[in-house]
Amino acid sequence: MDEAEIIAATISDTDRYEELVERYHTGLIIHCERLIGNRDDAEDIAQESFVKAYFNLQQFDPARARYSTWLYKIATNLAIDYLRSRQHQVKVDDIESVAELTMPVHLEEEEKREVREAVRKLRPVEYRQVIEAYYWQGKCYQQIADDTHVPLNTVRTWIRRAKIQLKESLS
Amino acid sequence: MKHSTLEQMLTASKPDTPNRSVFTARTMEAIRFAQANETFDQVLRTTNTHKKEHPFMTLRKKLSAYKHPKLAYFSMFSVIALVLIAAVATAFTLQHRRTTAAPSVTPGLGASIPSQFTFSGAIGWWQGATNRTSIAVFHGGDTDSCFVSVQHNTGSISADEAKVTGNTNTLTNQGYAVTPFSTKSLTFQTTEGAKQYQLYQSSVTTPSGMEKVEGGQEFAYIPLANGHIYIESYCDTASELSATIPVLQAFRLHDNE
Repeated sequence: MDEAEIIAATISDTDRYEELVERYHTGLIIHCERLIGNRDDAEDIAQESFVKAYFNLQQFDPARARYSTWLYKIATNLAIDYLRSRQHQVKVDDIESVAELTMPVHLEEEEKREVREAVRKLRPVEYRQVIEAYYWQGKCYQQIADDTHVPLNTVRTWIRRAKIQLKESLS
Repeated sequence: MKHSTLEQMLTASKPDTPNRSVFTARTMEAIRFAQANETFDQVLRTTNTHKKEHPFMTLRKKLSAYKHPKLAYFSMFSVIALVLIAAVATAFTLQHRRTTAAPSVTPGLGASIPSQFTFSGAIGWWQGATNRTSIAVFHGGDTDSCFVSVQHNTGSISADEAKVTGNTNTLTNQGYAVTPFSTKSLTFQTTEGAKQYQLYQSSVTTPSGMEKVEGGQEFAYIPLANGHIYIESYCDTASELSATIPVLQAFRLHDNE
């Protein structure tokens, strides 16, 4: 279902918001993790972003931006607040240039299929599993290592090599 | 699609699934709880973080009630009780220190914590919040005048590199007088062996009327094959920064296997 339709339905039915949280949370956590460099706190910031976005839905104007873009900007601002609260001297331009690399993009269905197909073709199969776990299921490296019973560094290596394969197949 | 990064393409291609993750369930629970408890929600929205707290302790504390709303009130009373206990313990410790001649030294606790970082200890320093990828140690005196944080970040070094190089400019632009006074070449024991790195030290003078910031600040980053280590230290005065050198040499990053 389209974002705008879900948001319209959410106004009268809170439960519908769940679809947006489920759709965007993995990407948003990764976005926050890239900004602050800490997975646990990134999850906290992502959660706070969803809550804040929900309570400000009335202010969201779908004509001006996509919900996901708006949500990520809320998260970016919370990440800056977080860094400042830790006495980081934050240069907003620097943060925003990093944020730009993980901001949400809109892909057509055909493009999504192409990416999913490239993931499905990853070999060995462990590469596919770690990519799906990290980017689609929202698991952190440690969770993946626990689930697959391999050392953390092995997970890192698999993800790095899988991304090299993906870059080649999608280029 | 050509202009998107691989990460953007992967997250945008996340397949829809009828299953709901734990994160989604907790977030929805937090929203419903906040709706039903407007007053408490307002309390949660107030920012009240201690400037020297480690990241592991800041938002986590503020948002713990979001993650486990049913425990929220219990948590509030628990915090009050812990504060009282800590106050009594502190008073007892101070009294004890006055009556003993030996200096108070708390050794590092790294060996007993399931962390990738270990801290072998430094006289007068104590280990604070630690998780799998970060560690913080504080100067153990009554004044708590220094704070060292080390993080193992898996992402690009660009953000932390920008913080290292941009810190001086940002403070200067805000009106603080920043004087880089030393660049030290140090070694950090990592999973890839001993890594040399540069530690950039600066003194900072706070102009009258402005919020006081630490007078001594130092930053460093160490590129690794699987990410990087980011180091930041703050002391009340620049001259105290020399005390962080043995502390930095007491850290070690190792495989958690």
